[in-house]
Amino acid sequence: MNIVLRTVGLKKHYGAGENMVRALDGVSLAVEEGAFVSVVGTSGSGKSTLLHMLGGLDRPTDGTVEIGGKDIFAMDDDALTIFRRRNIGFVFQSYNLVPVLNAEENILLPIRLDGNAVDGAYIEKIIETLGLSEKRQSLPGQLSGGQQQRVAIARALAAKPSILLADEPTGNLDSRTSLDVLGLLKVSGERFGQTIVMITHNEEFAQMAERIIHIEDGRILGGASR
Amino acid sequence: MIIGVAAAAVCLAVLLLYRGNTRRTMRRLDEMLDEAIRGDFAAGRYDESQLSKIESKMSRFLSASRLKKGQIEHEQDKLRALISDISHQTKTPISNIVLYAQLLNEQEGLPADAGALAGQIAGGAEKLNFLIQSLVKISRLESGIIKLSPQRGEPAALIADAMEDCAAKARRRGVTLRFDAPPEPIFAVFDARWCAEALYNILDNAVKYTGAGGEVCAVLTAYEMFVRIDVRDTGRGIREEEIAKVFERFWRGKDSPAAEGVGIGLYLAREIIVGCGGYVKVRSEYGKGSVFSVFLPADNCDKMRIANRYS
Repeated sequence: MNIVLRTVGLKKHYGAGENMVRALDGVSLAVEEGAFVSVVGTSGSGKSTLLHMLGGLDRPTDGTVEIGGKDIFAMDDDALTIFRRRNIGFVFQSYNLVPVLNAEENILLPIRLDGNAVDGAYIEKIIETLGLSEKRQSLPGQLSGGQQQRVAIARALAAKPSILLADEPTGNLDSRTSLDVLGLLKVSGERFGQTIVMITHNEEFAQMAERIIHIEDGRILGGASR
Repeated sequence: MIIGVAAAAVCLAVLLLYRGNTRRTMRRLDEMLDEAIRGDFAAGRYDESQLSKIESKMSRFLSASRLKKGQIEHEQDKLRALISDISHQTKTPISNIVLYAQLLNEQEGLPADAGALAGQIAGGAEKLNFLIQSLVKISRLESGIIKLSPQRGEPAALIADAMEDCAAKARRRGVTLRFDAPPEPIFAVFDARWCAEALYNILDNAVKYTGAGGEVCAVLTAYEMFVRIDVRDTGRGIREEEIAKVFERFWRGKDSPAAEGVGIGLYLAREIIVGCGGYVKVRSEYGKGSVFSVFLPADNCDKMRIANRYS
């Protein structure tokens, strides 16, 4: 299998001297194309920092992140921003939908921003897979939490990113709805050939993934390679 | 002065012409890529321009990759034919072995231990038969010879059927099977025949690893997007480090009973469920039992059209 995402000796330190916090302390991992990986750890374990590094939202103190064989931190900030927009999809705990746009407009927003033509058939499939066909005209305020998160997932998938990064995607949802949303995340990941890295502190949700990476004190405890 | 203005005008004209040209070229390149993606690219014109050269190269590249694709498909066809040959040609010899082992066992005046040996032969042959049949099913599913056709149905009926098929084995082992259908009918979208097999494999696995006096029960719950079927057992459970592996092909637990199973039932089950647009998940506590959860797409018109991975 192709390795789509690879980190080598990734470190992120804050502060200096005795007050230095090692949020990440030498993380090396490889994720295969099309895999669904979950990262679990207690709060403060460094899992969110890891996700921010993987998504190029923050620069590491040391080490590299390669996406599709490209060292993302070798790019300057402008190039990195464009690279991120075209290659990485994000899903956060808060859905971050634009309240005045309906579901469909929210989904299409990133593509429109990039000035690209919309691949109608593909978008249609995503909306269908995520069960949003009847909700496309609804404003975010009229949708339940689970539905809003499904719109956010559809938006992340719409730009055909090579990797989807999800940070506690069901943090605001009850456990029934969470399983629903994660199920759709998993199914659409498989259907559209997406690589998904999901952060969670919930062991049960983590088990939806094919591979679980445990992270504690900025280090990987297990599951880095299988 | 006049010369200067004229020179400026010429420069401007050249610049505009050049820009227009570049834009046209870029547009044509974009079109070419779109055509290539759609699969209807053909080199349009033959002249001395750079663009025409690129067109020719592109069409050469595309036909080379088409050729490669054709070769791969051909290889796959050969593989499929081989697999169906294997399944077909081994059927008769295997059933002969089973039959003659049984006949041997029924011979009078056979030494005492010969009967046991004949029984072993029959058992081994049956296991071989099961293995080959399962492998053939898997390869047919994976290569798309069999298409799953998910349709609206009641998972409760699916569970009842699979339980019936498991009943004899459960009785033999002293395991109680239980399923309380919810009062309201619940609908999901699934391929009834294949999902029955998937569910049977999961139930069969649960029964296999639950000792006498234990219980295997099924619980059906409806979510918004999925219908969930839990199969709970009071068996030995799965060690944490082994949980991720139970759905792998040919994987068997370290302390599985030696005689039974080849490690293919759960793998096949997952392939089927995923093929129907659902997913499976397992939770287990070592020594206490496991819960295998099957999630099938709930019935709403959206999901009717969810083409699965195998179609």
